[in-house]
Amino acid sequence: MKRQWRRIAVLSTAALAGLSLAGCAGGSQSEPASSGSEPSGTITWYVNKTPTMTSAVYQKVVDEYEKQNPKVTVKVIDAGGQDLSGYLKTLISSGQAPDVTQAQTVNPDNVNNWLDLSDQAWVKKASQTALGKSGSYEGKIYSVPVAYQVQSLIFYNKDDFAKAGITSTPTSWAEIDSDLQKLKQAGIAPMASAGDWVPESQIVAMTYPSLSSHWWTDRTAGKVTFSDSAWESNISRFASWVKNGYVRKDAVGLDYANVTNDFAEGNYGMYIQGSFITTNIAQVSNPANIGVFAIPLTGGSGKAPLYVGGAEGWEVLKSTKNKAASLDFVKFLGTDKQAIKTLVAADGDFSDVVSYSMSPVAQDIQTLAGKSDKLIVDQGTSVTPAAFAPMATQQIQNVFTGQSGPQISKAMDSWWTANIPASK
Amino acid sequence: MTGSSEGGVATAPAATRRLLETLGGRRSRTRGSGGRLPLLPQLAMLLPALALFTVLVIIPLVMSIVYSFTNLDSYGRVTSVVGLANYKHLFLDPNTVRALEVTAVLTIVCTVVINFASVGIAMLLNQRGPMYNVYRSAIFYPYVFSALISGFVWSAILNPDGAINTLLTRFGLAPVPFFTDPNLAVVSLIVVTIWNSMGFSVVLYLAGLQTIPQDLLEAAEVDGASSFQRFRKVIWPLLGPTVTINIVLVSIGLLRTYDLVVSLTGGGPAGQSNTIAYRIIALGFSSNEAGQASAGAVVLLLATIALAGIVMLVRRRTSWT
Repeated sequence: MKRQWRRIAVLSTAALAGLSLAGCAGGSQSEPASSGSEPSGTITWYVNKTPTMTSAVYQKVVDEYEKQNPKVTVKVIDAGGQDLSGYLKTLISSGQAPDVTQAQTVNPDNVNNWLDLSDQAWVKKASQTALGKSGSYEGKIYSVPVAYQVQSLIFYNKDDFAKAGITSTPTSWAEIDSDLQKLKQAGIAPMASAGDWVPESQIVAMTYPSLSSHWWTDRTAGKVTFSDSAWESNISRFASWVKNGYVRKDAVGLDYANVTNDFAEGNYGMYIQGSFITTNIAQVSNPANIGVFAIPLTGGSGKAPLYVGGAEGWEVLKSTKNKAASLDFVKFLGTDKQAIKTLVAADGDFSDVVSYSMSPVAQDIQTLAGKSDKLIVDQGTSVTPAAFAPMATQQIQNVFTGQSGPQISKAMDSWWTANIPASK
Repeated sequence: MTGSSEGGVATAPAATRRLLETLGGRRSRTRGSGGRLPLLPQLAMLLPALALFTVLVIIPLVMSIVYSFTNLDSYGRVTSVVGLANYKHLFLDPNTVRALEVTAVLTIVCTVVINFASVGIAMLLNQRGPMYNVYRSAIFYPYVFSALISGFVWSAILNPDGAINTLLTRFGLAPVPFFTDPNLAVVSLIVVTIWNSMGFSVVLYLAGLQTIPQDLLEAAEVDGASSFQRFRKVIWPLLGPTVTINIVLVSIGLLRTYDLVVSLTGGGPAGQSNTIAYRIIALGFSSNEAGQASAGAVVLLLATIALAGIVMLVRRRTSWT
């Protein structure tokens, strides 16, 4: 009998050692709230850390919230240098989804992950503007951006412009091409670019002001294509810049952060980028004299609207185990003026809700934004498919391998036809 | 716990015998013939390792194969079974075909260069002397760095404003487009891979060389064999097992090249230096096509098995193992 029990004990120990591994998979890191009306428990907040949106910035927001809500603990997690949305997908599919995340563009692939916030009182009020609605999809609101970034901008070096004999900022693509030539003749590197996602983001910035707000819906319906739109014109233009030496032929091998610093220090004449680089420019020890103007229309006449993207919007995941605290935290992020100011100022965003001390170039952008119509694409049902950005990033880099605008646009159309089901 | 030896075979000491009897329920046969343990204790001892292997290898493998026939997305959802559509899409997708080409070139070139170079370097280092320990450390140290770190370091050296191009420009020469030209990007990947991986192969070959009996080499020398003949007829055949292991290990490792691509070329320009592992990750996480990514992983697994099998078969036929 004793022998029998010893045998069972040894075998059980071995079995438990193996089975315990099955329980090693992590689950959500949130803890449910204890009973009571006040939010309590632990929630995780998934954020995007950048050179300017640092741990200290997010911790300041967390500290303020926890001071107001001492029963809630907020843990900040980030992608650790990996792609933000890619890592979020990993967390979700492995059962470790955070509770609150930086707003992801809602599309048919991911819509089932986010909680509908439409019934929240503060959301009803905050989503009355076009910007506030930009976190909605098919009538439901999943996030409410309280700030925006202006994407369709060309930053320029005022001293380089003067040196090249350019007396006013260009208002058309023809004038920009002419100015690039003047900069090159003056021995100045005309246009900055870099590798990875940068060329694609620059083409998007050049193109979006000339698209309708429902362009993606039209593309899915087959009413428009990349080849017959401003996409091809701008890709061709960019390819000609590379060919003519206005953009370095080896720019695709350069790092975004280094190129942005180089521009801020005065090593390039122009740089197509979003307003978020104003914080990078401010951090450079000896910045050049930088100005900014809006990207013009491609084809057609008139003034182009500013392409803006919502910022500082937050989503709650459906999988959250602490819905009360998560909703309360998102409400704090969307309504607490100090929290909004902390995030907006660090990210170089613009907001109608708060104001902060801005750098001169940021003030220029705000002035520009006040005088321009704003175009918000990716709203409602007209959204970019999730797989578009990586495909476009790869295809558009072909401007550096010698491909033409029509070739690249055609490849993008072929990809679309093969991968995106046509809408009825 | 020490054992005793009877006729050259170890016998278990008394405590161990009692433990085995407890587990087996009968007396274990531990006579000089080296009797086997009863089945139950064998299984009990294997169970932890089997459990680990099942959880970490078998289950993910089976799941991957199953998901490769579905439309699994990056969020872990499956809504339909798509049959062979993922595989068809994989081989019709020009990006995946290019990734397969790059992986094949990288694997073949690096395997050949690493192995040939490592044998030569190992032979040079297979000598006594204090400086030889320094040389061995110098050859091995790149292997200590992770591929990711190596990629970042070499990216700083090879990028358009990196050390090499800065020097070239300073001397009035044209910069080299290491990351801009598609073919040069692949060459850069090959060179850095060789630099990063060779140390391990050198150490393996050194160990193999040191097992070759010196009297065989002396006998060959006495018989008038030249250096090349000694290498060809004595050293190379005796290095056979080491060569087989190294070729298999190196080539299987190269098929999975991912982190070096991330840190060195980013897969660019325009995806022209993507490897299949990089493509699988891109499909699974950036493009939301986890089903296709699973199909890619299955194809990679089959390629790995085929490669290892071919290498073993060829070497067996040439009597090197």
